[in-house]
Amino acid sequence: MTDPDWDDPTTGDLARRLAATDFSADSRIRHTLRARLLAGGPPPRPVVPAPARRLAPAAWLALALVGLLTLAMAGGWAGHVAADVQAATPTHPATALATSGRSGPTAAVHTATGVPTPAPTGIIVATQAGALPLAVTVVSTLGVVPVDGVTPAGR
Amino acid sequence: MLDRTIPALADEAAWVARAQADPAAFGALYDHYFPRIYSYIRYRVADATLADDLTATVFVRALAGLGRYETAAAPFAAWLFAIARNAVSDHLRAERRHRWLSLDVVREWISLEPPPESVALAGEMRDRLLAALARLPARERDLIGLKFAAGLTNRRIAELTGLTESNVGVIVYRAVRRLRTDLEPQEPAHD
Repeated sequence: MTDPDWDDPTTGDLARRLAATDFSADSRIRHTLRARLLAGGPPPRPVVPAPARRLAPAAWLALALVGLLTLAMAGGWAGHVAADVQAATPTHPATALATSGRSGPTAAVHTATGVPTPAPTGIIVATQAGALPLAVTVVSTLGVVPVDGVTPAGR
Repeated sequence: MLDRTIPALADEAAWVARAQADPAAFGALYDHYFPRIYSYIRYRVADATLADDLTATVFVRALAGLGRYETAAAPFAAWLFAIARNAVSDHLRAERRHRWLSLDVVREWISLEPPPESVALAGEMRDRLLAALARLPARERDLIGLKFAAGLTNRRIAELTGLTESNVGVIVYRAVRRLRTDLEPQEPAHD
């Protein structure tokens, strides 16, 4: 079979030379990679595109937990502040008389009808009781965990 | 050594089937294809360490995806070089983001292996060839890498790249001619 790439008088010689050139002798990982691939364990992942991939799934979960708690804390305190504002600025004498006079996350706001409406104390108490520091501890414990045997450079 | 008629691995289908059942059997496929994969990647990227990095990526991906490979769909070489092309393309698309960590990882591996003597023996011609390759457009480097390093036919290259077979032939021919011109020694001007 004739092949213009090989048989052409002007390019054939170089084509044959290209085909005969084996660059693989330049490789410095040939044997190491083979051993790792065949070791049976999880193969090495030489390309880790972004630092974010170095976070273990558990760390992502912990970060999500912190995010949720932060949102809950912000929402809870907003409700708390709203309740305090409402208590501090009575618009009707009946409301003013109905406020419990207590402050803080467990304060109950009495409506004009006299029915106590508890503030969302569960989340607020949880955050004040140290859930946030706990979550931060979880994150720092799990931290940046190498994935699939890849350790960050320099470790 | 690579030549125009790169022989297929004897009983390749059987080796593939064996490796699909037991990754430890992947060694024969690895040994057969490593030079071709590395050389193809070296055609496409100038840096030897980066070529190591991408070659490792190819074989990791191949081993991980071997269970999904179907012999009837395509020859193993075509499947493997499709992975190689994708790995190089991925790298070229996101070169700046990828490079900082991947090279560090590969350098850890490099420290485990002695420097090959062949590196020291690499002649000026090889260096000039690599330099000339680096001056070719990316598509031409891809095609002549598939042609000469991978040892694929124009038809197979056309299937991989989406070009027509004749178009592959033309591009490869022009690329080789351009390389030849680039590699020719500069003759002194005569009066």
